[in-house]
Amino acid sequence: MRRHHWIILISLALALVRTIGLDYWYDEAFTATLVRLPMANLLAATASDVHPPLYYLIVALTSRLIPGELGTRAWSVVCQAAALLVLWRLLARLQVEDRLRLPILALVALLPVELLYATEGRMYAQLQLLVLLQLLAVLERRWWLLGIATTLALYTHNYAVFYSIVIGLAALLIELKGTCYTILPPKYSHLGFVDFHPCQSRFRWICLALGLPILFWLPWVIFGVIPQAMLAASGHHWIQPITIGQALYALFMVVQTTHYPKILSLVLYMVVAFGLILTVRSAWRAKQRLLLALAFGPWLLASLASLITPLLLYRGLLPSIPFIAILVVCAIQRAGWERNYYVVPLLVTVGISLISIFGDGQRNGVLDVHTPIQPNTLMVHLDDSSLVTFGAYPQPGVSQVMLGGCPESLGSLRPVVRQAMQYDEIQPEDLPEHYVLVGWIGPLSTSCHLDLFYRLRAGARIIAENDTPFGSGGIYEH
Amino acid sequence: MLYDRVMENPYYQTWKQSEAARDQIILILTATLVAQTALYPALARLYQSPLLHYARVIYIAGNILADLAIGLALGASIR
Repeated sequence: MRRHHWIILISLALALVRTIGLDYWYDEAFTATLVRLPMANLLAATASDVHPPLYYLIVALTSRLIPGELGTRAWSVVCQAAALLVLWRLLARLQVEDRLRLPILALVALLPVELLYATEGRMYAQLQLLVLLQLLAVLERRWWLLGIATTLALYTHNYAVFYSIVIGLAALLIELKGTCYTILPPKYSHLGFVDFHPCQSRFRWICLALGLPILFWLPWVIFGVIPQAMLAASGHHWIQPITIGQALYALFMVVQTTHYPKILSLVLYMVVAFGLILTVRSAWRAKQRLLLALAFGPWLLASLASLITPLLLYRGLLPSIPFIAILVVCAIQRAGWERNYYVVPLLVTVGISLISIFGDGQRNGVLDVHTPIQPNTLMVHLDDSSLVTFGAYPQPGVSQVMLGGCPESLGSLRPVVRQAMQYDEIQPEDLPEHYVLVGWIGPLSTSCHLDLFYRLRAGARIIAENDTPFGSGGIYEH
Repeated sequence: MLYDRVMENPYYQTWKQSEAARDQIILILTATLVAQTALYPALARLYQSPLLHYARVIYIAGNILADLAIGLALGASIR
């Protein structure tokens, strides 16, 4: 095995060690519940939710082969391994200096954000792999691969659109710059032009490689993207209207993740922001325009699109991380004697996050999903937040239902999705004498949920309770 | 608008206020850092002396220390 293989192995081992005994958080629980459903229900639920179905369809298979949390997360591990191998090959295609390739790979492989998503039961690792494949296809002029990778990416995550736009434009520019049309028809080739070998441009192939995926993607646009965009524009989604601060914060989050001591948040923000500003300046001067576009273009596009419909979320920007890492390492290499002023803060911030992701405890949720409940009990959930996380860990004899009677809260599942996920609804007046209420009141709960929660909590026996500045709730027995 | 349904919720108010405060702090910090980045080369042109190297080191170290102090104070206050 070569050194880069060892780096990849160590990174995956670290990522897997972190997930030992780690419960699903809401999004992963959603994946775990969805992939257990019959195929028709899975597709129906996906079509009315947010992301395209490809990832769920693959995990539906892996989770049947490997039971438990590992089955839900294993596919991301495979994607991460493949993504790092593709990155290794990309570094050669991007003509990055030999001695910088291992540090870049090590930085990407060991960045906390990469370790987190390498084992997350969500589609981000798959999206990153496909974006890297798209770029590899462009640089190696394999248009068939570009077509396949683009189609798969578009059916993996909605942010693939932003990456495909940037990569598509890059492909056209690279072809424009690096090739020229054949000036003379082949019948004149016998005349001989010494040292002149015009390289035929492949615009038609590029158009085909990008046009066909758009055609294949149309059904999802019509049945998925447009209804969701309209719903989000009406204020249904929990993502709030964009501000400049929020856009900058998203960039910070994708580099730093949410795992760091909160007292250091501003210090870390300054280090990261300063590092990125210097990196961009250095890259601009070194004319690394393609990498700059790939690193920051999708973020810019997502921020601009958020002016129409709020959709900026840092997680979807994971595929930018390898490009940012390349820019950072190249900038450090160019920094000359000042190199240590860049390396030390970089290692300190990465180190702090690494310690944090391993030290943040093993509980993902605010309420313990393993709280034992007596068999033959009805577990009533105030909203989706607990319904989905507790639903992913069914207890024998305990049936889970959603409490009706309130309007939808921000970001809640649509009724049609909940129906496809086979969750029933119960009205407050139909509640039996004995039941367990699981409720969490947070920033997105409606006034109706607040009233209902306080009313039903009154007189109930507290099984578990939690209180934070951003919400409170618990498990209560009636 | 669905947002109206949560406006009365005190947790929503806390969340939105903390986000607004965070956005303002981030904007100020980013603007300061961009200004500083522009200032370094200007300083380099200003101090054309053998002591330039030490002046830059002291300047950068001083800035980082000041940033850290401000950051820690702000971080502690909004915790």
